[in-house]
Amino acid sequence: MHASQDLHDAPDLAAPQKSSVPGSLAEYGRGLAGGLLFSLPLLYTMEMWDMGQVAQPLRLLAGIGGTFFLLLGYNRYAGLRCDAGLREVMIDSVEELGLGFLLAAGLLALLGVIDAQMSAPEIVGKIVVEGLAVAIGVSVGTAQLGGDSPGLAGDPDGDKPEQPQQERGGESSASGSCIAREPSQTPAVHSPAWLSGQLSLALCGAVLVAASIAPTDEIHEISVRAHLLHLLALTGLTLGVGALVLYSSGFRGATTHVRHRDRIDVVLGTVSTYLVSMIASAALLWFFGRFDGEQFDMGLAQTVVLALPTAIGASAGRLLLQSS
Amino acid sequence: MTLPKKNWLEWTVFAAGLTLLVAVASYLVVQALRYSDEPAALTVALGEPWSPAGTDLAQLAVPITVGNHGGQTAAEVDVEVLLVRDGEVLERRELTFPFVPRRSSRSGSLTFQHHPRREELVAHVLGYLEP
Repeated sequence: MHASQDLHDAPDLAAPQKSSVPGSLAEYGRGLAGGLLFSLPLLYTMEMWDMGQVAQPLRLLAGIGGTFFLLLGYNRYAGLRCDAGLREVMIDSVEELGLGFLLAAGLLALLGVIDAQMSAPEIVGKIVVEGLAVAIGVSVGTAQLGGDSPGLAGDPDGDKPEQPQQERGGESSASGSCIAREPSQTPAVHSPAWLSGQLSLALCGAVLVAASIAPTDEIHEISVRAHLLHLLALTGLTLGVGALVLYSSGFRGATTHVRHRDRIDVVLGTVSTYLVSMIASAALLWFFGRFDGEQFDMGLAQTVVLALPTAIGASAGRLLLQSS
Repeated sequence: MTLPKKNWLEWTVFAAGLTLLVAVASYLVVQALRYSDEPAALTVALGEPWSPAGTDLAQLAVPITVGNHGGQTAAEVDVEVLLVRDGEVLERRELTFPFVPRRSSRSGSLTFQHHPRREELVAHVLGYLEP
């Protein structure tokens, strides 16, 4: 994690990029606050504790891997500093996972969900399940809750070959986003870096919103009752809400980060967000064991039911998580 | 190799985070390799009957512990305890544990009207669900 830009004026001129200890402390404080803010519903949810008792080690490992991947994407495209290289982004992600586990362990102990009498697999399971959610909150909190510093320094390495003259590491960068910005004359095609950045943030938003809904029994309950027509209508609503948030609600960042030149842009943007939502929905349901022993139809129905919250998270996340 | 410039606090947090992450991940890998294929293996252990203070004299409590030595968690574990005297079932008690996680145990108590001696009690698991 990095200190905000104003600390770069610190007297220690020998290491101008090194952040001060109080600055780092403030950042960790923001991270802790964000971790609590975004994951408290999950820390107080019984299904999550049960999941920690039931989950197989391999699934928990997959969860750690998936969350790490998500944190990499988030820190790369919406993190505090855009000039962070892969090594720095990885260091940040490891820190956030560690803080997530620590925070989850402390709170679960305070809430009496874990205690010394429990066996190690149970304690570790609960801490991992909750800690992953907290880690995402820590990451989002560190980057989003800091208000007064733009915290951006230059453009990402090598992502904008079309603008090689842009100053590197300069603090005067006008760009508000870590994602390679389209030049003012919109090109005919987006760069792959732009799209992967957009989809990474969509995925983060989707998981952030849907993680507190996926573990609940209600998803299964709704899916059992849902008629085929319900599911079709839900799919339509999911697509519609995605399009609404991205293209016609005037969300912060909607004009800068989303291109709506013609109808094809709208359709492509809506469908790509829907795709991310379905993937996030299925991944979360699998992690929480909702596909275990289910037929394909039931799994699909649950994915569709959860896709509505994920789509709202994906489209809103795509706009709001960008540091603009 | 150039390291990112960070202060001692950031390196400390990073080191702690990395240690924790590696520890948790290796623990899970070991668990996965050793136990994940084993089904739940449940045992029932009964404690000494005792009379809780301030209750009916006719109420005798028997502590019961259900252990799971297998690799899978068992849910809704149903346990039956019989009080058998002179070949006759005097009392029958049943208890359900919502979860007995893998390599863990859960405890509870059953109450009997007749004073049971330890060797008169017969306990076994009736069944459980795979969560």
